[in-house]
Amino acid sequence: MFSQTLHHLVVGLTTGIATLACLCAIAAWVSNYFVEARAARSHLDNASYIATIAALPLLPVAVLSGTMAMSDPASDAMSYNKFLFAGLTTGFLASMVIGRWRFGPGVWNDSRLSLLQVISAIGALASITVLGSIGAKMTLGESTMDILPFWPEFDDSVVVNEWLSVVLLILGLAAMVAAFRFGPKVYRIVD
Amino acid sequence: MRGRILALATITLMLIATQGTVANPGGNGDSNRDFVCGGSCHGDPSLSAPSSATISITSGNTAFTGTAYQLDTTIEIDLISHSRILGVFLLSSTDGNGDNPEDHGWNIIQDPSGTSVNYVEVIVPTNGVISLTWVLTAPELVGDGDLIVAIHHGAGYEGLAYLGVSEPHSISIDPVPANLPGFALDWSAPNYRVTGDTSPVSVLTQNTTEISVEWKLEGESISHPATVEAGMEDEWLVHLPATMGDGRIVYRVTTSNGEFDVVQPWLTMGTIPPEFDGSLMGARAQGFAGAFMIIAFMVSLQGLLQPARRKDELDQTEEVEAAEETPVEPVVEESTVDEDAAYRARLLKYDEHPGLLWDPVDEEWVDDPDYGGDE
Repeated sequence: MFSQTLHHLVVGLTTGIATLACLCAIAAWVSNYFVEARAARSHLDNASYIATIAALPLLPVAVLSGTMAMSDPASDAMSYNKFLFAGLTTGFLASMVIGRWRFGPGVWNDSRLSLLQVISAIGALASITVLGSIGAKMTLGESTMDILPFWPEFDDSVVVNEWLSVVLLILGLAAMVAAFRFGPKVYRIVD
Repeated sequence: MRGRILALATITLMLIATQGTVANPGGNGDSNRDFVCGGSCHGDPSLSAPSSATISITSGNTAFTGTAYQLDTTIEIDLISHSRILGVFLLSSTDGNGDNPEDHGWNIIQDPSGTSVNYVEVIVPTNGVISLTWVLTAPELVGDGDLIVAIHHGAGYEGLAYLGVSEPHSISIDPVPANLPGFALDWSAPNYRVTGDTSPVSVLTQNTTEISVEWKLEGESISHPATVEAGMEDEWLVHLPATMGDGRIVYRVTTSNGEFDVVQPWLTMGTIPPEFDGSLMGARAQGFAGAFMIIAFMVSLQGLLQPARRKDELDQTEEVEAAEETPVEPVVEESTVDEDAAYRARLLKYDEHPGLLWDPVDEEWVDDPDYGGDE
């Protein structure tokens, strides 16, 4: 019972903060197209950066509390999908933080990097929306996303063999380390 | 005054809305029901009217006690509401009380919806013809029994319930002949198969030397013969095609022993998705793998897409000049000083050779560093 209550609490916090982070990032990117929006961009950038950093540690807490709240987690396609989309959300949010940390607040001044940041934000926002919709489908039996005719079925999932999943995990970890160690050296962009 | 008018108008609107409400235009759900009685809404002549539909029953008039009996009915209807919902009763009387065939010794095994009730609601196709089947077990008592099909539906916007009742279908219930071939008493037909499953369906029989099976997809009119092979004693393996998605297959077995050929009722088998084979560990690993791969991809893109450094950022002139302004302490190694002093000490100066010094070791003249002029 406590796990369910905790899960509801943490999910609300995570979803709200992550949504704020993504929306601020999108707004910061849009502000590039308005000459007088420089001051607003700075605020949006700060809000997005801080909210993303706050959302990242909350995500695993939400996953763990959800796992504890379920009697048999990952035993059906919908709960399995929650794990997958939680991973995608983490990846996109972490990419946002890394980009902002490496290039500084001037990341929004470069058209290509700011586009990359906003793509990460949109990806994170979409993943969070799907996560929330799956949760609503599991608890309430319906979600607001049901109105979309093209929405994918939640009752199906991409399940690979357990050991292949571990191999994919090692591969992903190696790819991430390689990207940091052997990738081009990056410089902060002057704001 | 305005408040009173508003209240009166609200009450009037509510009353009008109440009058305009049709009882259950969306149906009332499948269940066990008696037919309408005189006191009910649909039994009230001012709220109901006879239906123009034609109801026909095409089943046999003989059943054996305690054995399966199939009732087939076809309803042709031309006027129906826009929702095309039709309520169909299977009854043994039309008294409005105790009408369910189960009240008369019958047992409903399967109704047209796959459950076991005597009232179902169906959607009539646009051609206005619908065929329905109930599978029942005949009463244990020998005698005669009636089965009746009744319908009710809406039509147009009059708000009336249209009722239709078939002629009673009389069935002679006879004692079971000895050696009658049929299903084994402990056999139950499988309700579902996993999607894509092609494994044969096992059918257990009694008093049977041969069976034949025909199948069709639900809704199809033409049936196809199935391949049957003998299994163990009184077991038959029936090869039915695999179904996918929500597909439902119906099949009918004819049991024979040379003396009797008994056509059994149609049996329905649905399709269920395969058992989910994910695990918590796999889900976690896959989730983390997705996160790491996205990070790796995005970090790589960040490195590739970052702007090229400008020339003024690469110009290190200021740093170099600053370094040059810093006085450099002469660093002379001690060993070098000693060697130089020893070298100078061995040089000999001769007045007849000004500006030159004689090196007796290397036996050569060298320039005198202390010689100051050009003379």
